[in-house]
Amino acid sequence: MKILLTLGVVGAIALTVVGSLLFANREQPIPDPPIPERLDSYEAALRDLIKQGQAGVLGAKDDPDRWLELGMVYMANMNEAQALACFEQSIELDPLCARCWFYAAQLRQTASDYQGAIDAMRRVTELQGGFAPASWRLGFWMLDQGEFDEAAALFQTATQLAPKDPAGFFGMAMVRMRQQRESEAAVILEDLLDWTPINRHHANLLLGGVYRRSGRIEEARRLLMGSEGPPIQWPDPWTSELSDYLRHQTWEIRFPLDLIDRGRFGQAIAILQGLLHDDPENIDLLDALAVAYQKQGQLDLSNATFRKILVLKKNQLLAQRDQESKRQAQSNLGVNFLVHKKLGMNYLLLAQQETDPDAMAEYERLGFEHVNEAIRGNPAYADARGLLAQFYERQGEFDKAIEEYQIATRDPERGVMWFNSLITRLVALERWDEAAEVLYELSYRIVPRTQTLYGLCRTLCEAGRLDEARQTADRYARLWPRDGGVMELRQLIQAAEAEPTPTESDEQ
Amino acid sequence: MRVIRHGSSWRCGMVMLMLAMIVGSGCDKSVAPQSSGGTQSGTSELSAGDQGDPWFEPISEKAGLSFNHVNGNDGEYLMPEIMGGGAGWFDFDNDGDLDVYLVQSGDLRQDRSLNPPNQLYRNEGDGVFIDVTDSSGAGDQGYGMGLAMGDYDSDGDVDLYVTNVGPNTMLRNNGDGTFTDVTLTTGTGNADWGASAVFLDYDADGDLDLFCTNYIYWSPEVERTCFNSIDDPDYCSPLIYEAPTRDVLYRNEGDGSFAVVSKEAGIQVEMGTGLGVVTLDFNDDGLIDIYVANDGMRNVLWVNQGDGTFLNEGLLAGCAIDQDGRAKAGMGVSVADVDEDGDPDLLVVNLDNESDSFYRNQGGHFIEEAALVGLTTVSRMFTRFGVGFADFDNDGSLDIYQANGKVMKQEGPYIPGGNPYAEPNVLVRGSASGRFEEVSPRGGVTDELIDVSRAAAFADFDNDGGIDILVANLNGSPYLLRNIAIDRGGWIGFDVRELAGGPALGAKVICQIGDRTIVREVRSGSSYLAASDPRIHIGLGNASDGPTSITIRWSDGTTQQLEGDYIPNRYHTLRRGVGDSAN
Repeated sequence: MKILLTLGVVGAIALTVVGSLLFANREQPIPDPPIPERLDSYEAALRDLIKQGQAGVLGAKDDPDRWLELGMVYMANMNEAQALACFEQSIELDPLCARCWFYAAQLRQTASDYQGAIDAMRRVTELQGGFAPASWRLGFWMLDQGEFDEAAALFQTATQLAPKDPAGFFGMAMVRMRQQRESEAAVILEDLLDWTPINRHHANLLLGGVYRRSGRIEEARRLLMGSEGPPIQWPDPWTSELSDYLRHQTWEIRFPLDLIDRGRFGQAIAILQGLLHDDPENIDLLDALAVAYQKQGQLDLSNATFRKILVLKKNQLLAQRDQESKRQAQSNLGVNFLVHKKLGMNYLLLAQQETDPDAMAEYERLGFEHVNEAIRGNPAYADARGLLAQFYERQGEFDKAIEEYQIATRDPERGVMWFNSLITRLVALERWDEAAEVLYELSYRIVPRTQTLYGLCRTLCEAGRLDEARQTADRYARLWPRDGGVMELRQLIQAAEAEPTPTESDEQ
Repeated sequence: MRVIRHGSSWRCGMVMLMLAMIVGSGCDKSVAPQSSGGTQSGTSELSAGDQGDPWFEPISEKAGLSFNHVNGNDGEYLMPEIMGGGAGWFDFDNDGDLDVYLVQSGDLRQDRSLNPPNQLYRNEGDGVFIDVTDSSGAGDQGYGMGLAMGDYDSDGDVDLYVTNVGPNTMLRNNGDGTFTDVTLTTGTGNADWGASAVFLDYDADGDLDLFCTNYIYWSPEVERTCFNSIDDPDYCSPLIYEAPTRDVLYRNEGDGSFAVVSKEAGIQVEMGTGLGVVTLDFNDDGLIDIYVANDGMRNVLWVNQGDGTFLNEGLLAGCAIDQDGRAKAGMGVSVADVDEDGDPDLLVVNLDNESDSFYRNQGGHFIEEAALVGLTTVSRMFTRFGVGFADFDNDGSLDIYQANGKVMKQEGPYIPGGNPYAEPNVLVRGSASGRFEEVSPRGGVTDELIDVSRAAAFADFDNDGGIDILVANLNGSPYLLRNIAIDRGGWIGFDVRELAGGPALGAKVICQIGDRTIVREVRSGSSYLAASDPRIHIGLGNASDGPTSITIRWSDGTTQQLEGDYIPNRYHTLRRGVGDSAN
């Protein structure tokens, strides 16, 4: 009885609270627009854009378009939480705003609110039935949910609405694959490969999988060979419009560069492509794009982009009429060594991935050419030297490789990176004395580490320089007296001491 | 600024919060932390809903697991700091119950001798574990990652291999409760950044070889400064180092040493970012294959050619990328014949916003069917590391446990003001229909456990027929989750042993129970940085009889047929060349 009474009282209080909250909510004033915590540290152009958007909202808080625009500014600049808050507010003010729902849906998806994303995108299809991207985006999400029939219907709608947009066709093929209707999937994909300008590598992978499952092993093998492809892109006009809110040049570059640093190559590439659409000869943007392609493993595209930069720079030089401008352009051209080094790296990667000996040799030839070009531009460029060494390694020219590594290690900043390669090669060739010298240098060049002194001691043992090995072990013990390596090194030296000294007759 | 997901759910959240304040329950994120083994715990709005009975009871503190993992972060964000946290089970003292080994990290800036050691806890058989690190000599002090267990020297006791950032360590079990560091004499101290490792007899010569994944080439000198999506300094994506590396295969020479055979075996041709590894005979040719989950790169299936070499057939076999053609950030991996069709299926868990990859084996190739079995969204918002198939409720269908924790800070930490990397773990129930659904309460525990979890290792440590879980938490205490699922079904277990007495890793056990044909492989290494109970555990549901006939295909290809009355609800020891005996 006491429990029932308590429950009753609690229930009454709860109902009162719920009622008052709901009532309060209806009367709730429109909030101020969200502000990023670190707005002051943002680049001026972006900060101004945000402040402008905020002022717009504050000037008319009940205008859904102002909220939408501020949301687009935030979304374009990766302030996703603020963007979502803006779109949610614009939806509160105008529940019929399809575009607001569309952006909110994508941000909910990013925020792992999958059901919220689906609900929002479904709303877009209701409000703007003719907008194909809403149908295929929702289709992909339903596919993820295992709702194959609904996904298939959505993709079908998308293909009818926009027969030249490949996304819906990809979706239809993917549904068929999940339904294990391989022959139908194959027909769609084979057809798609006849015309789609985007995601061709993706289509090849899907088709390869379909062939494999249909027992067409050799055809599958051909399609599935090769390196990682370009990132999958599903462009749509509303999402592309977000790039309009990236107006400031340095910010425009920094943003995709940040994305590259974070490993979000696909996103960086999409943005850079959008920016280059308006400014196709912007060398900084092209360089960032080439780097993004390289990191993504799209070496052919990366190469093509780097080559475009070289051509543009040359043309800039030729276009200069006066000597001063020519000198500046020449100096700019000098910076090409960076581009050549990157191209060289691409060809090294291509050669590593290649199995056909002729193609491999061609990649190596091109790689040599570019790396040598880079070295001509800057003979002390450590990374180019190290890269050249790696090409020599591939050709078994170890002496030359060692020479280049040695040059690379001389660089005060970047050199340390090449010590390991040099030591590895010397050890592999059992050139113990030289390896010991390099390890000595390394152990003094940077703060000694256990592995450096450990390696040095072992190398000295191999070289038969036991006195120095003992000294190194002592140094090790002095620096790290409690380390297990101390005992190991002493045992190693003891073992080396116990080995019979080679006699003349042994050597003979 | 707090993330407001959308108006209606936000308002609902507020209402629930007010109600919770009044009635003392609900979805209040600010519920005081519980002391259940992890560094934080609480209840979140995501776990609100119909709460079922718990499946597990956190008992690490009660059990005496006083271990506390440290990663040494001092604001510099060195990449290995966010990846560590290994854990494993193995019966080091051969007393019939499984002991615990927990891998410590330390501080990358200091000498390894200053790192706190890994810890070994002896299972006393009464639910209590005693720290025997000092007396056993098993406390390696490398910046630790994971471990593998196996009787590599065929002396009947289980040895230990520890992976580190820097040289790995081989610890030989002396059979008297102590270990000897034999890294140098065995030649197994690969100095790269080791992650998960497994013992396996790939050349079918009767002794255990060793495969070790390496993550990336890394040293403090190549560390970068990275920023996360909220512009805070944070750990980098592994891809930005542009430094994928090679895994390493050691062949057991049979004389106490190993030879590096990566090149001869063909392993060296692939660069990757290996984190998880399992062994399996994916094409039922009697040869042990290797599957590696790579982070942000295609996964690799090393198909054993039977002549000491392997070929990567991952793409062709359909398990390198997901159904949509994407390579994901593979972390942990588990393998089991989920659909009981006789071949092993694979589950790879990935980064947040990437669904799990469930590769169903179709008799020699895989079809990725995460969507079909309901695994695309259950835990997709989390970054999953440790993972394992096990029949936790013994109903005859395999369930899944996933140990989660971010690698980059999340905007609103799961618990306000708490660890920005912490996430809850997830328990997913399998069913006879083949579909999976999340268990409530989340993670199968009454009070949701929220931490930065890494390894998840599975074992029936109290030999009661319920699979228990050990979870390593980064910068925190481990969870020891004792299985208390009510209405657990019947079960049967097989402890499959080589002649010398060590676990018969790689042996395949085939048995018929009712209308079920069950195929299981003896395996310890799977999940992420983990070693699990190598015994075979089978949930029987309502079946009252065990098998009457068992076929074992040993790792060297020989087969053995055993007849007998295998009584349920106990472990049976199956020894090579000998009849069985019930425990």
